[in-house]
Amino acid sequence: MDKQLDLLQGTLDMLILKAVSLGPLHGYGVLLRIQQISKDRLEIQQGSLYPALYRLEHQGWITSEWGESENKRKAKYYRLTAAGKRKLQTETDNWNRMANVMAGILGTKPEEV
Amino acid sequence: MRFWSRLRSWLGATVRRSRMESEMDAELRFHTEAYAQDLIRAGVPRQEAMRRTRLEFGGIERAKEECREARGANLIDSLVQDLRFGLRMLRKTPGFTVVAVLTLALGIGANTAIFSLIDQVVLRWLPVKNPEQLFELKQDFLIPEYEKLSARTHSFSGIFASDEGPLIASIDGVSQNVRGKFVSGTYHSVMGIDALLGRAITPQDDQPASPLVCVLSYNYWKTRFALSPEVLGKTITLKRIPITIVGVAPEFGREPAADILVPMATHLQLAMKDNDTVHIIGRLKPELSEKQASAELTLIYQQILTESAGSNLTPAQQRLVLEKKIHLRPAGRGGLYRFSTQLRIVTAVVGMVLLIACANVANLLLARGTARQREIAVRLAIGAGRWRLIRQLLTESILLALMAGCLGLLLAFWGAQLLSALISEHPTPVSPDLQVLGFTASVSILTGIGFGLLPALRATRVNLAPALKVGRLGVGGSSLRAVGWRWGLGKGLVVSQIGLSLTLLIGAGLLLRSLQNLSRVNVGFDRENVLVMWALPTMAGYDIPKEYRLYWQLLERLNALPGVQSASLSRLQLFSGYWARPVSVPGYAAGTKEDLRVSCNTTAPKFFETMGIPLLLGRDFTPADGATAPHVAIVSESMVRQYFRGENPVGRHFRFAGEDATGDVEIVGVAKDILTEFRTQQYNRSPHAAYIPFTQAPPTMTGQAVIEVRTAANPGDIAAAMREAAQALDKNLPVGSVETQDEIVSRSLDRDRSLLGLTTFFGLIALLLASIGLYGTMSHSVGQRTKEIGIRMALGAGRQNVLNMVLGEGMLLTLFGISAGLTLGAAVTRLLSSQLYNLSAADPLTFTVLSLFLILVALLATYIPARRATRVDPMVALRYE
Repeated sequence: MDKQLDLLQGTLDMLILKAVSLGPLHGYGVLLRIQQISKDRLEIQQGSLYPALYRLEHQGWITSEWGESENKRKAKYYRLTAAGKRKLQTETDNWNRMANVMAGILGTKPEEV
Repeated sequence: MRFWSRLRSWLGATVRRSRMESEMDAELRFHTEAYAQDLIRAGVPRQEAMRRTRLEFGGIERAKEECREARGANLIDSLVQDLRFGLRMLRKTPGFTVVAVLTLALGIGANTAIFSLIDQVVLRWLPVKNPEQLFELKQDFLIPEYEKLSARTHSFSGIFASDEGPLIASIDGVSQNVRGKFVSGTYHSVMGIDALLGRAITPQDDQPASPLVCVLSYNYWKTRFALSPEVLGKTITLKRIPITIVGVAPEFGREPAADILVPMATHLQLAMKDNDTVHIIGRLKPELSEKQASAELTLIYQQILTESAGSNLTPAQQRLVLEKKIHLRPAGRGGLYRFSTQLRIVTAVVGMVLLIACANVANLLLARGTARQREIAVRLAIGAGRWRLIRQLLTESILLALMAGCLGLLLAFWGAQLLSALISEHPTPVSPDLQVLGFTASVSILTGIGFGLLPALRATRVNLAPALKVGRLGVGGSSLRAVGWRWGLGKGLVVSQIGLSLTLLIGAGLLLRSLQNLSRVNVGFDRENVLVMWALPTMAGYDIPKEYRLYWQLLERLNALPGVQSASLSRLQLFSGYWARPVSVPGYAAGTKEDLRVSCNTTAPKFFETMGIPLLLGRDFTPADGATAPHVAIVSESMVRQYFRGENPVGRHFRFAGEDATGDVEIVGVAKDILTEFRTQQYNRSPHAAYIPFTQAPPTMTGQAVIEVRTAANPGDIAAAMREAAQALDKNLPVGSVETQDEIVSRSLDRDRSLLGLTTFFGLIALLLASIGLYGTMSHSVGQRTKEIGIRMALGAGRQNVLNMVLGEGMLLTLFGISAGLTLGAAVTRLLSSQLYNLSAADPLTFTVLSLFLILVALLATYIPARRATRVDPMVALRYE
């Protein structure tokens, strides 16, 4: 396993949006999904997951309803809303632009200055 | 969109709190159990799995708290918490709470009362169609002038004239005084008022030949007819003329609203004789401005005046016509057009009272902040945020202010009626509405923040270590600085309280001196032992000859009554009426701008004897000065000085000019000057007077008269006899109640007295609050300095030194306050100038005496803590701490 990275400030929201954009998930499912798609390279504080979910729901980007889990238990499922979809899109674009810029800057060699 | 979803989420979190909590529990439990199960499935022993689950999840309670925070659920929670805690703290110190609530209630109540009055009489729009389009012409017009004006103007989409006056209405044989209103046929349609029952008045009704109809106001319908629908078609008799009721409509006129509305066509028959002008209101066309309309109307009005003068208009008169302008003002709001001076004064007074109340409570809070220092230090030490504590303290202040606001509302209901009587001759019942409630609520909250913010900021800026160590203020370096700051604020508050209360007291003092001046004024007649009573024959439909017969008979009867020295009558009551008529005197060259008006009154013989006005030259009127006899007049000595250069004018002539112009009038006597009211100059009353026999009066001066009787003794018996004499002549003759002339004169000062009463009341309350503030601050200061005083005494300072030191400190504050008060007073009392009689608003005596008075009171307030300071035992003081 690679060394785990601490989350950058503000990226948890994006991760959650991305995770639920792939299909409705309960909170624990979100955690598993992020670990799965990040190939366990990110360290997520389990306790900080729920406040983030509540905040995103409060802002209307995700919505929740009670359903049945894989092992027949009641669980709260989160789904991306239309507004959340747009939010994820803009956040992704911003992130990519930022990453490009940062990569460009960090990749600068002395002779290019 | 997003806002709504957030609001829904917030409401879900706050309103259905328990459901959110149980869902949150279930969700988190699901997570932890699922994770533990996964771990067990991966081969971790059960115990270890549970441990790791707890460890890796972190604090569950903290996560929950953050979840609640995310949905804003804590906002209300902490508010409820703050409120509960606030209430508990207030209950713990009932003395403080009661004093603070009472103080604030007084301030808030007084302001609410004023606001509800202003709201009612100034701000509120009339509930009619587009009230902002309604404009009134600033002057009154003769009816023919109105007719021409309304026919020619294009500025208004609708226009009407109205006039108010008393009427006697007989319904089913029962007579009653009512307020009548004469309105053009267009009144209801222009105002946009529909009839509640039957129909409104139409232009058709306002034709001379139309059947006579009237419309009742809703209020009159309710009080007189108990809302019975059978009122339609009933007949009312006004001045013996039967009139049919055709409808009921709400009435939103200026104060006072009328009981019965009749078409303007009946004005000539029904209105009082002196009443020949009407008031005009129009609905301005939306595309026009007030200025454009005013310019158009002015032009038309000047045309009308020129036409009615005909060809014989001198250039001087022409210039006069061209100077006449018509001005408009909005007529869509409540009854009063403007803030009267009294209203402004009272507003200033109550504003100051609220400020003083705020300063006082802020001071109390400062002291309490010190007492609660330990509590606050503990809370800060265990991690409460400063902002959170400030919020808590502010919640307490606002709670206090809101409690005071509720009490203040009660005070306001009661006070508004009182104030209404003060500013208006027709007190309107004040009905508080939502706007008033909103005002009180916002004033309370602002007040709460106003007096609570600074003390809260102060209280939470604590140096933790010493505050926790000794449980009261330490006398260490940094906290001593904090003390200095805090008590600097407290002293500043005391200084402002003293300043504001001095200002109020000076206001009261000036009003008192002015009233004293007024009571010493020689009115020029003998106001003692004179009974007066109005007789209003025109309201019973008397024509002029019949009216005169009645007067002669009545005077004959009254003069024969035992105990009556003399009886007479006049058209105007002294000190409650004024009638200006311009004169022209042959041989007198008047300046172009000279005021040629004299105050005219009609009298019967013996008037001067009855009223105790000395006749200086010539003779009194006699019954021989009848309607057909040569016109005669008695003039005042000042008129003689002005127009006859002080020469004996008896036998010489002058003319009345203007609307009721006459031919030559011979002067038969000269009377001493009298006052027609106290403030003749303020109201621009002519000091010159001309009296004419009532039999020679112009028609506008007939129809009613005030009967005057000079009694030898015990006016009580004669009062009854006066009424009986009148009723014996005609039992239907409308007469007023019998009063003494002294009451009439005195009543003209009622408003001065109420204003004085009000200012004195609030001034003394302010003084009391300021004294309490000073006492509290000085006591506290002495308490703080116990150790210092102890050291001083140990080093040999005598009791007298200590006393002087504390008194000196108190006096210093007082003097600062007084200089602030004098400065503010000099600026603010200018508002009073128009109310002051023969007194400058900067009267040095008032300013000095009240400053000294305040110093005396302040000395008393400081003396008690100063005495306590002298009793400090050095040993005890030094051992303390």
